[in-house]
Amino acid sequence: MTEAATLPPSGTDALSANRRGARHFPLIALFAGAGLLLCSVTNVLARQLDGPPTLMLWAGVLIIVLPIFYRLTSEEASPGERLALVCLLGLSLYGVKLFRDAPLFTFSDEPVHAFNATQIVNHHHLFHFNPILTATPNYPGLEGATSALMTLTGMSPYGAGIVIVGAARLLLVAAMFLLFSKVTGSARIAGLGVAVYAGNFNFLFWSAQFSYESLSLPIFVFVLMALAERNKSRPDWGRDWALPIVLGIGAIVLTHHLTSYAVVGFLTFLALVYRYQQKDWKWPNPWPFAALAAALAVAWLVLVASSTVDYLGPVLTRALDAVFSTAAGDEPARGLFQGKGAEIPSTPTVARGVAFLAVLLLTAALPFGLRNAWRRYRPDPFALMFMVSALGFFGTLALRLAPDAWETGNRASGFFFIGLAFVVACVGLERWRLRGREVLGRLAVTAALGVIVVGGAIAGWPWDLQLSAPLRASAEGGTIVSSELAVAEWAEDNFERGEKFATSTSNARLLLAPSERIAFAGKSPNIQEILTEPALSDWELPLLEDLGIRYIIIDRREVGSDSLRGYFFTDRREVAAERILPRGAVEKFKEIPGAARVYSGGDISVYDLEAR
Amino acid sequence: MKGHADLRITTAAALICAAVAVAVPLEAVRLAFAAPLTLFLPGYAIAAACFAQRRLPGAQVWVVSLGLSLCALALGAFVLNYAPGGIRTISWALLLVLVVLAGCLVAAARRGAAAGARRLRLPRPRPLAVALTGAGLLAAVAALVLAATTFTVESAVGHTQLWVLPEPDSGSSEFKVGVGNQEQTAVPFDLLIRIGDEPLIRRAFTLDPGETEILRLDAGPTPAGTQIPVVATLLRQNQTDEIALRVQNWVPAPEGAG
Repeated sequence: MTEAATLPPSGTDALSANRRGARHFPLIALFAGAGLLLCSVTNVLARQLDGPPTLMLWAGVLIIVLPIFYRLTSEEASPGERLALVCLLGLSLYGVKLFRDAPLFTFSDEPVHAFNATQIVNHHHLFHFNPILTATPNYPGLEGATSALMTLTGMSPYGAGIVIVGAARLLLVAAMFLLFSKVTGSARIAGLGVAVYAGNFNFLFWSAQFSYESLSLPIFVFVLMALAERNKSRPDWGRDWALPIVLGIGAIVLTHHLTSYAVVGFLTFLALVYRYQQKDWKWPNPWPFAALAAALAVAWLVLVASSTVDYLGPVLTRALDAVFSTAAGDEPARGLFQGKGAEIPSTPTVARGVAFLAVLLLTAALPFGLRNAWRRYRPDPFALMFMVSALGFFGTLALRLAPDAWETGNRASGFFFIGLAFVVACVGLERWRLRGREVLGRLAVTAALGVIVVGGAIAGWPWDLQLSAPLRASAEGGTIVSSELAVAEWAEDNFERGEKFATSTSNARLLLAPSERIAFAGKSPNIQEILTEPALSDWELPLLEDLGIRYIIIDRREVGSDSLRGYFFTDRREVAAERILPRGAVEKFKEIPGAARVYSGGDISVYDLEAR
Repeated sequence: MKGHADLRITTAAALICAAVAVAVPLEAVRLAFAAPLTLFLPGYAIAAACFAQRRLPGAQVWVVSLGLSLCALALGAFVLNYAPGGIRTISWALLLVLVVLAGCLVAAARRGAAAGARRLRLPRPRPLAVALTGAGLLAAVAALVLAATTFTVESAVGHTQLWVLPEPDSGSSEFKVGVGNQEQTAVPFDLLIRIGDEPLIRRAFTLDPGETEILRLDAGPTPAGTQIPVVATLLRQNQTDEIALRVQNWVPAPEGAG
C-alpha cells in the first residue's frame, strides 16, 4: 500500500491532498455526464414506446461507472480525489433513477411518503393518517426533513423530496468511504468498497426512491462512521463524537423501523466483540450507544408507532413460515426473476446471466476477501462485524428462494451488503501485476465491478421496469395524460382535500400524490375484492360506509392494481393482450341505490355512492 | 465569536439564507438559499461545537456537516411538532437559525480566544479542468431537461373524459358538465344533456388534445328536498350512431328553494 492511498493522519486536510492528483477527475466527470445523457435519451425513447434496447441504458451506466472504477483502482489517486470520485458515482447513479421518472413519483412507496409530507405541510403537524401504509406517518423523519424544504422554498414534495434523497445519497457514499478508510487505513480499499456497494441489488433503483429507508440507511452508515472515528481516537477526543452519534441514532429511530432495529443489532454485535476482545466494558466499547438505540427504538415502538407491530409482524411471520415450508419441501421454491403476474415479461436469458455472474463474482471474491480482512484487520471489531455481515448477505440470498421471505431478504440485504462491500474490497486483485505492469489487475477489477453494478441492478429491479414508460405525451401542440393520471388530476380539481376514494392500487397512489386526496386501496381494508368481484357482497357497502368512502374509482385494466406498472399509457399494439376486469365488476355499482356513474374516461369510471 | 471567522460567516449565512427563504417569492431563489440553510449550516455549527478542541479534516467536515444537518432536519420536525404554531415556514427558519447560532456560540466558547480562524482553502482548478467538468455538468443538465420534456407517443392509447358534478357552493341548482380530450388528435364532439324531463340541450364543439370544456348549467327551480336527474351523453360528431360516453348525476335543490 502506498502513502498516497492512505488517508492523511487525523488533523490534516484531506482535500488539500486533492490538488496533487485530481487531474483525472474533470475527464471522469465528463464521462459521467455523457453516460447520464445516454441513459436519459434511452428513457425518452422508452417513453415514446419505441422499445429501445435496455442495453443502451447499461451502456450509459457503464460509461458513468467504468472510468470511476478504473481510477479508484489506481495507486496514485489521492484520498481527496477518491472521495470526490465516490461522490460522483453516488450522485450520477442517483441521476439515472431521477431522469427515469422526472417529474413525478412512480415508485410504489414514493406517493405514500409524498402524501405524508404534504399532510405535514398542510396541517403543520406530524402523525397524520395515511390510508395506504398506516405505519408510515409514525416514522416521519424523511417527511419532516422534506417539509423543511417544502415550507422554506414552496416546492412540491417531488422537488423537495429529490433534493433530500440526493443529499442522503451523497451522505451514504461519502460516509461509507470515510468508514472504510478509518477501518482499513487505506483510501484505495475504501473507494473500491463504495464501488462494490454500488452493486447492491437495491442501489440503482429501489434505494433511490423517495422512501424512509433512503434517508435512514445513509444516516445508519454515518453513525457507523462516527463510531469508527470515535473508537480510533483518544478517549478525550473520542467523546467529541458522542453527540453526532446520539443525534444519528435519534434520527434513525424517528425515520425507519427496520433501520432502527438494524442499528440496535449492529451496535450490540460491536459491543459484544469489544467485550470479547478487551474482556471488559470500558472505553471504547460502544455499549452505551447500543443500549440507547435499543431503548429509543422500543420506546418509539411502544409510545408512538405501535401499529408497526401489525404492519411488520405478519410480514416477518410469513417470511419465517415460508423459509421453513420451502426448506421442508411443502412449498415450491420461488423462481428467480419472476414477477407476480403471468403477463409480466420475464428477464431475458443474457440479462439473467449477467445477474448470476455478478453474484458469482461476489461469491468467488468472498473467501479471498475474508482471508485478507482476517489477516489484516481482525483486531478491529468493525472489520469482524463486516465479515460476519458479508456472510449474512448470502443468507439473505437464500431468503429470496422462499416466496413470502423474498421481501424480507431484499430489505435486509441493503445492510448486510455494507459488510460484503468491505470484504470484497479487501481482495486486492487491483494490485496483481503481470510482468511488473498493474494494468491487467486494474482492468480485471474494473470489469468485475461493472458486471457487479449492472448485474445487481438487474437482480434487484424487474426487467420490464428498468426503463420508464409514458405518463404524459405531446399531441398536436397540447399535452395529454394517461387515464390514471387524468382521473387523479380531475379529483384534485373537483374535490376537497378530505374527500375519500376507494380505488385500485396505482390510482390510489396518484390520488395521494400529486393530487393530495385520500384514497384507499389494496387488501387491508379489502378494497381490492370490492373492485374486482363481479357482484357486491353483504360486507362491502358497510365497509365503505365505515371508512367514509363516497367515491369509487374503478379501473378495468388489471394492471391498475400493480403499484409499479399501473400509471402509464397503454401501448396501442398491446391493447388486445391487456387483461381487463369483467364488465360486471364495473356495472355492479349501478345496482347500489342512489349511486351514479359521474365520470367516465378511458377504462376508468367513477361512481358516486351518494349521488341521490 | 471574535477571532472565529468560520463561525461568524456561518451565523451570518444562516441569517441571510433564512431571511431570503422566508421573504423572497421566487422558488428557485428560495431553493438556492434554503439548501445551505437546511443541508449544511446546522450540521456545520453542531460539528463546530462538538469538535471545538480538535478540528476535523476538511473532507470530514463536509461529510459530518451534511450528516448532522439531515439528522437535525429529521429531529427538528419532531421538535416543531410540539412548538407553538407547529411546522411552518417561519418556525423552520427560526429553528434552523437557532441551531446554527447555538452551535456557533458553544463552539466559540469551547475553542477559546486563542484559537485561530479557520481558513477555507478552495482549490484553483486549471481552465481545461473547468471546461471538462463544465461540459459534464452541461450533459447532466441536458439529461435532466430531456427527462422533464414531454414528447409525442404515437402508439399511446388516448381517451376522452366526461363528467357531471353538482356545484354545491353555487347557492342554486347549478351543475357542471366537463369534457376532456386526452386523445392524440383534435376531436369534434356533440354533447347532449338532459335535465329531468326537459328537452335535450345540445352543444357542439371541437377540443384540441389536452383541452377541456366545462359547461355550467342551472337545473332551474326545484321543490325543496328534491333532486333532478342530469344525464350527459357524449358523441363524436358525424358518428351520431355511436355513443362515446354517458354519465349521470342528481342535482340537489338549493336550501330554501321551493
